[in-house]
Amino acid sequence: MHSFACIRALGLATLKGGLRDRLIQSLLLAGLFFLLSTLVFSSFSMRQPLEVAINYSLATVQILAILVTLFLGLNLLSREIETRAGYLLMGQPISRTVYLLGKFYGLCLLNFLIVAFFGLCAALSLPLVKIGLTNAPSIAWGNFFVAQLGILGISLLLGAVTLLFTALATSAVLPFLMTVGVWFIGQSTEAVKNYLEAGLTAQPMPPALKWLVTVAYYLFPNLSLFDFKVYAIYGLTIPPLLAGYALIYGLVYMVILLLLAATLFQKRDMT
Amino acid sequence: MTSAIKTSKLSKQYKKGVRQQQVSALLDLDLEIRRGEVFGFIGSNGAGKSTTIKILMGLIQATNGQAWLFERPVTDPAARLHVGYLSEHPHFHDFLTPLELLHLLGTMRQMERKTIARKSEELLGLVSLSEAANRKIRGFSKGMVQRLGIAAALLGDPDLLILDEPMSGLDPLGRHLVATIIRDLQRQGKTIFFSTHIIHDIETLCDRVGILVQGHQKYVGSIQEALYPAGNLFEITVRMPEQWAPAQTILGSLRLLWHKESLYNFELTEAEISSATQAVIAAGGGIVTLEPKRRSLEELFLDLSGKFGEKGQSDLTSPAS
Amino acid sequence: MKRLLLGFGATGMLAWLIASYASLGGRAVAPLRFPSYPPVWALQAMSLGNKELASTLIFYNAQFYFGEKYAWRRETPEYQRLFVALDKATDLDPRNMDCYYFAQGLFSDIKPAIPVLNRLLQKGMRYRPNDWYLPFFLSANYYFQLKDPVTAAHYLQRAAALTPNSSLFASLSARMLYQGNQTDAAISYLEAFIKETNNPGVRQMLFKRLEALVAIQYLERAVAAFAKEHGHPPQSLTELIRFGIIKKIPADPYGGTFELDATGRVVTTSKLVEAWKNHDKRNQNQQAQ
Repeated sequence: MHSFACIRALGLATLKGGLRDRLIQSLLLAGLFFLLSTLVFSSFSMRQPLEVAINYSLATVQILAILVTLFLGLNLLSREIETRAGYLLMGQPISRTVYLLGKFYGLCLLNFLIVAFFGLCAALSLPLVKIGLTNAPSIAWGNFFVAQLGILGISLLLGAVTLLFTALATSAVLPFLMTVGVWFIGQSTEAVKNYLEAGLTAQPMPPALKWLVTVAYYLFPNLSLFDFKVYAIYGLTIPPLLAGYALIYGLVYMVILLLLAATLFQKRDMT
Repeated sequence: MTSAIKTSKLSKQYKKGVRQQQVSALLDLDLEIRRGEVFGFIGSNGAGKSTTIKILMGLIQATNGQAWLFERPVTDPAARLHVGYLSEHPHFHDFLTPLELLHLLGTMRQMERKTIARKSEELLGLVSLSEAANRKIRGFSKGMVQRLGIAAALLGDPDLLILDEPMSGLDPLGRHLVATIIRDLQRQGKTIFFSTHIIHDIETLCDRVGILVQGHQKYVGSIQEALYPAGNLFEITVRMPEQWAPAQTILGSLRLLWHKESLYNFELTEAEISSATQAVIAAGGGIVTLEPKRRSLEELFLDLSGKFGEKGQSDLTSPAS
Repeated sequence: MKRLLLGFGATGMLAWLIASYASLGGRAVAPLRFPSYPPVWALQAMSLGNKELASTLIFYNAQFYFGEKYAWRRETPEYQRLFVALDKATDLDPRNMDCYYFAQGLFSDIKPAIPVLNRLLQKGMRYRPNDWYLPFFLSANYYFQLKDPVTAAHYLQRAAALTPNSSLFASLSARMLYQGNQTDAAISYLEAFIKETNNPGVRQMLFKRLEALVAIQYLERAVAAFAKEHGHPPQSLTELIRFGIIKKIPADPYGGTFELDATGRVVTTSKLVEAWKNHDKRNQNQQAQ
């Protein structure tokens, strides 16, 4: 019981830190500006302004959520270890795991708030785009919601990755850069793997490279699994198996990351 | 009587640099600090004071040996439940206000919400931060941060207070505050363990001291025994009538350290005190002072270090020097 | 941080102002080139999980480039590169209708481009099975360019089955299959296309094409009138003026001239084909280097 209270208190403090962080505040402002520009952006489309508007607003929410996760991870996790502000908390009668979970809980809270807020903003902007359009398709709100959940999944996975790297590295910038790397790789492994397996390359693949790609595919989080944007944009039916697989994959991957992070963090010397 | 802090063969080795060279920060430390004691931990920078404290606070893991707080191994977070800790350079979550921070810490110490509120108010008053209770820590001066650290350490009404260099970052006012708080807590029967390199603090506050030199414990014991060891010499200053000469009395056999007009200063052993004082009175003189010839802690420390002028010893200072 | 952002913003504004001033400056402007994009897998990686947005951005870039190049600078656009870009954009998001629509507008008049254009549209049909535009476009391409009325009719039927408003198709298919007058059918098709287009650059281009078609229709009718009167077709278009059937030959909006070919049909020396071929050659040269 006590651990839960600690995790909750730590999470709320982290949330406060996130909302009071200038960088994150300016990111949120930029996001709001981008969402407002949906109307202008979609107006350049010839045949599918509504689809472009959904596309644009979902992409904005996704980039925003990921950037917030990255910078939150940098400012509130890694930097907290670097500046030793976290030592005070670790010197309290709580285990390191509780500390780590509290931080992650704060990350989840902030990400949830951000995705919910911007998802709502996007949802409000879409009917505006629809005004004056003839023959516009109806918006698949259910898919839109699932796409938002997917975005939340991606940012939380990246948050757990930051946590793991923070537990590993001593400097604050390193986990940030490594998480950016995981983001880059994680969202493209599937595409690269499919491309290579389709055999479209001019020369046959060196087996070493093929092996490397396969390893990367299974080692790094497959972030494209959580990309449900296309279903929201074109109102396609989401295969329930795919959604279920993404959910289970995300949960399992996150638990593994957190366990690893907790194990490493336990052994870490806070010098 | 149970101990507040106990360590047994506590050692810590770091791997440093690219070649992973082993550096010993602490070697076989055996300490036992009783409840209700004020214990000073002395050593120059890098002697292993902070390492010891961080092991006690669970921030780093000992390579060898064990440590207990109130009979509980330090690897158990619950061992720190009744421990307050102030680090050498406290850093806080600067986006929080002092009240929010204390609330967070109180929750971790399993305190009731009401108790936290009452205690926070009281402690922020004690460290004169009441006015800043709702301001973000980001804008605080160094002294304010240090004082907030003291409040944070005292929040759980701890039975044991572990302070890492509590005086080093403070202005005279802050030092006075810390000294007052330590004396108050001592009166309440709390245990205080603090590291310092400022000699003055030790002499006025501590019951016992431990001296660390390069990771080795060189001395543990009462501060009196350290400064006034057995077989210690005394100095006596006497005022004698005119035309008096030491050679006429027993005082003639003593070593005369200095003589100024009618004042004479001799060095003598404890056994010689009574005959010497009698002789002075018989000669119609008066005793001005009689005091033990004291070793300064600096001298003691240098003795223990064994090497004069070694790097790092200039860190050990008293306010007088 | 705020200052930094402000600084960035101000610099960006300044750059934008300078850029727009430079583009107004007329002759001093730098040549406008369309970029060649990296391979699709690289684009997908660079899109950071937003391949649909990347597809839209490529389309926007193509659209803006075409508008400035064609309507503003009155230069020949780099058709090959445009096509490759649209092909990549539709690999990123094969449902991006903007790309198919734009490609049909740009390339349906360039005969050598028809095979690749049709392949592009067929890709679109696989991913947008309920979109009547794609079979409609394919039908037009098969009919006007590949002279294959049977396949054209097949696609037109598929298009008609997908739209509730099939009056357009009724008149079009009637013209294609029964009357056999290509120019009339082409004008109907183009008018339908223009009605659905709001991009000014593309509209301008389509109007030009319509203008040429109307001129051809005018000349074809004159040729038919001549044949009816004289029992044989005219030797050349100037004969039409000499016999007082028309007052003058209308100007070719593409800058060429209208002529009668060996079979007695009115043709124009379109420069579009050359533009496509030239780029083809240049691309090959670049690759050889």
